[in-house]
Formats: sequence, C-alpha cells, structure tokens
Amino acid sequence: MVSQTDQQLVTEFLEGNNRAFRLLTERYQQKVFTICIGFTHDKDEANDVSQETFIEVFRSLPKFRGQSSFSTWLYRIAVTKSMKFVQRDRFKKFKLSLDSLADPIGYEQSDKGNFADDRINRQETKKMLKKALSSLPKKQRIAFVLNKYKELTNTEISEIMTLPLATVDTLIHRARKNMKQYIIKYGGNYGM
Amino acid sequence: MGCKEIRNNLSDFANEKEMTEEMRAHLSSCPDCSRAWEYILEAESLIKSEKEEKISPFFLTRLEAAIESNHEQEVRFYNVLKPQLAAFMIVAGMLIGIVLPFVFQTSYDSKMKPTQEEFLFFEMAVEPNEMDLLNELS
Repeated sequence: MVSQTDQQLVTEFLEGNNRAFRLLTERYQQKVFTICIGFTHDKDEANDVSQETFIEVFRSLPKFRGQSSFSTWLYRIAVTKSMKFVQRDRFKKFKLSLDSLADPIGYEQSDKGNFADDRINRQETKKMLKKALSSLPKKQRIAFVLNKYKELTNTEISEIMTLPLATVDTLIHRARKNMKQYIIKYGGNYGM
Repeated sequence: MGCKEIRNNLSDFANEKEMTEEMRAHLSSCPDCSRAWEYILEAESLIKSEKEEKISPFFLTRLEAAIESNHEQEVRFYNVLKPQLAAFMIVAGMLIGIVLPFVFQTSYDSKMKPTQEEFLFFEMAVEPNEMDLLNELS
C-alpha cells in the first residue's frame, strides 16, 4: 500500500477509499507545512493553512484532471491558500506598522547587543524577514518561498506557477537580490 | 574592492563557500559590511530553523475531524435549505402564473385597440342624415 503511486491513491480515493486520502496526507503533510510556514512564519498559522489546503484537496480531488502531477496540483493549492492567508493577515500587518510608527525610537535604539534575550532577537529577525518577504512582488515571493523553503527545482516551480522556466529563473534571482537589499538596508532597525 | 561591490557580491542568502579571501579581509576590516553580513546570516539561520519546524503530530486527526465537521455542516445546510428552496420555487411559480397574463393583456390592449370598430357601433358618432333615417324608421 505504501509503495503505491500518487495517481493510484487518487484513483482509490475517487472510488471511495478514504484510507487512500489518509496516505496521501501522510505523504505530503510535512511538505505542505514547509511551504505554508515560508509564507506565515508562524507554526500555528502554518498548521491552520496546511489544514485548509488538505480540506480543499479533499473537496476538489474529484475535479482533479491529472493534467499535472498530484504534487504540483497540491503545492499550487498550498500556495493559493497561503497567499490568501497573507492577504487576510494584512490587517494585522497594518496594525503592526502602526505600532512601529507609534514607537519608532524602540526600533532605532535597538542596536545589536542591546537584547540580552535571544528569543526577542529572534522575534525581531522574524518580523524583519516577514516584512522583507511582504515587500516582494507576489510572484517573486512565491518563487522565493518555493525555492528557498521547499527547495524545489526551477522546473518544478515553473510547473506550479504555470510560468516559463526563464521567467522563474529571473523571478528567483530578483527576489534574492531584493531580499538581500532589504535586509542590509533595514536589518539595523529590527535589533539584529 | 569597495563596500558597494562587496555588498553586491555577498552571496545571495549566505553561502560562505562563495566568499573570496578578498571579501573576507574586507568584512573583517569594515564594520558596516560586517554588520550587513551578520544580518544576512541571521535571516538565513531563521529560514533554516523555520524549514526544520515539524508539523503538529495531531495534524491528521485534526484534519479528519475538520473534514467530518465540514461535511456535516454541508449536509445540514442542504437539508435545511431544501424545503425552503422548494417552497420558494412554488410561490415564485404561482406569482409568475398570476402576473404573466396581466403583462400580456396590457400589451395587447395598448397595441391592438380596435378604434374603427368602436366608431362603427357607436350610435352618437353616426352621420346626421343617417340619424334622421333612423328616427323615421322608429
């Protein structure tokens, strides 16, 4: 049963075998979670988005036409759900930016070495990384997360994003460059 | 090598193997570039730690419960909706049945008014000499 291919499991699920769906979930849950955490940067939120992804898979599997591989289709859903979550989360980010406007001194004064607690430092880095990622255009962000977190090849990413390979190469290159520039420019403001 | 060049060449998301001796020497002598390098390393380390995060061990159980709950909600939704939808369809059908003849009747009245026929059978509109003849007959 374990050695069954994705397509075989999909077929079994469509024939009414829910155990096949369980096996597919077990096979891909960690991979989907890694993509989701690349967008959310929060373990609990990534768990929630992963759950939303698999619920959507459960609902939409009868409509899966098999034009791409199951994993490509699944990752596409995970990316869509994560991006939707990020958009929903925009209000929180807006509030966060208001907080940072209200207390700019706190950010300016947080030179390296001022934080004794590594955990706080980590939180600040996380905040900075989140901001750096959200500063990227949507496609660059998706390409960056799939490349950096999931370590997918550019060919796989081009299939997921339904873009030409050359475009994906450019997107990843630009995303890395933009991320680096952002981190160098604003790293100091986050107490790194 | 200047600071700008060094920063451009700092490998996109740290890979120390790509660093040349010249770059290492610059980083050890330039505090600004050294700090920039530390920021990049810090971000890289965070990404690495996020990648190593494991999904909740209860994920599958929670997922199955959520799917079950969603399914029940959907079934409940359709069961509740079904009689209401049927009632709505019946009422809508009746209303259409009542309103539709009026709509066609109105349009028939306005377009097909038999003005000539009405005039012919309207006594008062008859020619005066004909009226005289009628009077004589009576």
